[in-house]
Amino acid sequence: MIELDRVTKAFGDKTVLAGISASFEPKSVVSLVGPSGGGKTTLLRCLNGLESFDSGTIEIVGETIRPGGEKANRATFARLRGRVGFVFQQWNLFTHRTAIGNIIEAAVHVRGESVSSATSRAKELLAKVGMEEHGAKYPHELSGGQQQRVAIARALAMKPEVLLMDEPTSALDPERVQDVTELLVSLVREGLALVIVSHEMSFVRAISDHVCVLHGGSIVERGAPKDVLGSPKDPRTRAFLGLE
Amino acid sequence: MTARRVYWLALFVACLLGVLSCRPQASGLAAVRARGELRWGGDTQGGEPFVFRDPSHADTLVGFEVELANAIARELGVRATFVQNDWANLVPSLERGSFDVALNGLEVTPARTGRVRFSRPYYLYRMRVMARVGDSRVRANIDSLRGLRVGTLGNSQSHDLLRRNGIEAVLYEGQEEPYVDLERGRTDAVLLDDIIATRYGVVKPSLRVVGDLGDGYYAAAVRPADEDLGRAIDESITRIARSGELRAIMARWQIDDPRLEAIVHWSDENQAQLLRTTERATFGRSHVVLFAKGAWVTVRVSIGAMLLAITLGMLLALSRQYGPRPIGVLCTSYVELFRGTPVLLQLYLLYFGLSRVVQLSPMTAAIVGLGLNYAAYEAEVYRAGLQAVPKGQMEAAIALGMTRGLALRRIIVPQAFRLALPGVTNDFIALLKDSSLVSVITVVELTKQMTITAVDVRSWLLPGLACAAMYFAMSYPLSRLSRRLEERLARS
Repeated sequence: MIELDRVTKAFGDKTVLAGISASFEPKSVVSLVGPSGGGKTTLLRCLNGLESFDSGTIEIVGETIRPGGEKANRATFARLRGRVGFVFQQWNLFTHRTAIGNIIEAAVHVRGESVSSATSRAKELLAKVGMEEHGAKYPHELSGGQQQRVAIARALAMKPEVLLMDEPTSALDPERVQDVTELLVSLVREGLALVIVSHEMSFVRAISDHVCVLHGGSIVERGAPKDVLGSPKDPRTRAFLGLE
Repeated sequence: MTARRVYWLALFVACLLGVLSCRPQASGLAAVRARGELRWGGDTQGGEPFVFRDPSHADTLVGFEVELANAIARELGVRATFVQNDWANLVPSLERGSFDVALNGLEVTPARTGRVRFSRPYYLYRMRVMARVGDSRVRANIDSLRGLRVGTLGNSQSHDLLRRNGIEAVLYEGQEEPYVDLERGRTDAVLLDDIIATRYGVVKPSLRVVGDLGDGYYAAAVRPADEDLGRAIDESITRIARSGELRAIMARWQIDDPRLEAIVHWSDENQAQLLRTTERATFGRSHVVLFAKGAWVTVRVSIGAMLLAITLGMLLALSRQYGPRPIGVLCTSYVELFRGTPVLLQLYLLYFGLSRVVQLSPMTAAIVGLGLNYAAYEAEVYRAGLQAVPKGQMEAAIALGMTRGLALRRIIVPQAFRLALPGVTNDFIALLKDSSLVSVITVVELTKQMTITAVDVRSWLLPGLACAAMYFAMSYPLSRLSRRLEERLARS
């Protein structure tokens, strides 16, 4: 499903990704964890072309992303972006559109759906994320957790196979974390694959099939959460988890 | 702003205007003698041969009226000092005491006769019709001008004659421009004093003198309260004329004519005859109708220019922000160039300067000129708006599969426009008032209509207040709207 082959990236002389190779099973939940500056958010953003990389290849949903960013991958990205959704840390809802407006925007203007069919689907999606009451509200009228649900619904409207999520719990009240976990679990049960960047280890433990620890641009340890988080072998992982 | 505050503001403005319109103390002959100088008002823009700067010594004024003013001052035993003043407003400036005497091709017209104290005339001119060679529609009678566009100077005797006969007058502020526009075909004829026609019209080979529509007199004007100064100037001109000096001055400037003997031997009866008819127009309903027409022109120019400015400004801002570098540099240059030079100059260049290349109608030139200028300001307002849209908005759009163009159109620009709206309404209010500048390219809008009327009714106060009220009626709703938008934006 996702295949990384010696992916490198540097900002100037600072290495961000130091030749990452890995493959993840389809329909799984993969979490990228590690200290800040370890490269996990950059790697996540490379998976749908928000960030370019310098060498190597990334295979995702059957498409191959090559180095060189937008210019080198224009056609790939056009096919890819509908199938690989992204939920931002700050959600980035379109401030001038209602919740419904946010959800139908790309369906209508990228996929070419009619407004009425996109709207009825948007309402279904809002119901699915527990937001059916709030379709006519603007982002500034919604709480952080509600905005996140709209952002998830907006990504789902493109019928993605993989959803990339950057720090889905960091801007939430602790009591909301349980809600989003349940929502994501139900989406996974329907066949959606997730790649998540998170600092919240209890959340990672609860939701992941597979955990990767990134440190200094490399994957230093990976495996099932109970192994990696429970009995880490690499000293850097142990340090990161505060076990030493 | 509450209704009460608006009321007090209006009252304050009215009081201020009232104070400003009060007349200062009369100077009179005694004051001129005590000061040892005769201050005379004229407009060097009137140009050759009246009063103008010596081309070889830019700090020296020359012209037949300069020589005449010096001769009169000499007769009075004082020296002459020139005071520069816009020609169309010589009379109001005389009244408010900017100078002692207006002496600059001031024609003796019934409208002026009741307002100022004219001296005996010092020149006899003819109103001369000029047209393009080969245009046989224009003949030497007023009826042949009906239905044609006739260029002249605002508030001149020729302007009066045209208005009285219901002929469309195209109004200029300089002497050369009427003939330039006639050559280019923007007007069909020019009616102006023969002196002006000779200097500025006859020299153009594509134009011909059609004939004359009547005589008129230039005379010096003082305030009615300065009767003694007026009489002293009369006596001075009589001496200057009788001694042969007057015609000698005219001869030096190639405007001498045997007909001037009538002025040399001017009698009290002639003077009484000349000043017989006076007219007292008062500000009334007909003027309000004219103002409304002027306001309509102002609205059309402003809205047209703003639409152009908004569209072009957005293109400039987008190209600067998102376009390739050379185009960005080009757009930046545009903004700096148009912001950094006066809009008045841009209007002149567009209308007169480019008239060899493109022939824009006055209205089109006004809209395009103001629109091009304001586009530079709008571009800056939008740039600020575009920069205020968070980067994440573009990323979110891209992540949903939008192209950059689609994201700009659907996501970024609408948000930037909302952020820019208060600035845009603000600029629109400024544009509404700046639109008064287009009178220099012969568009008669509200302010121009006001100045014409003010000279007609011999008062600036009522027309000024009426004009201000009309501008306020147009701009105040806009500023209310702008405030409401700002409040709504602050909430979101």
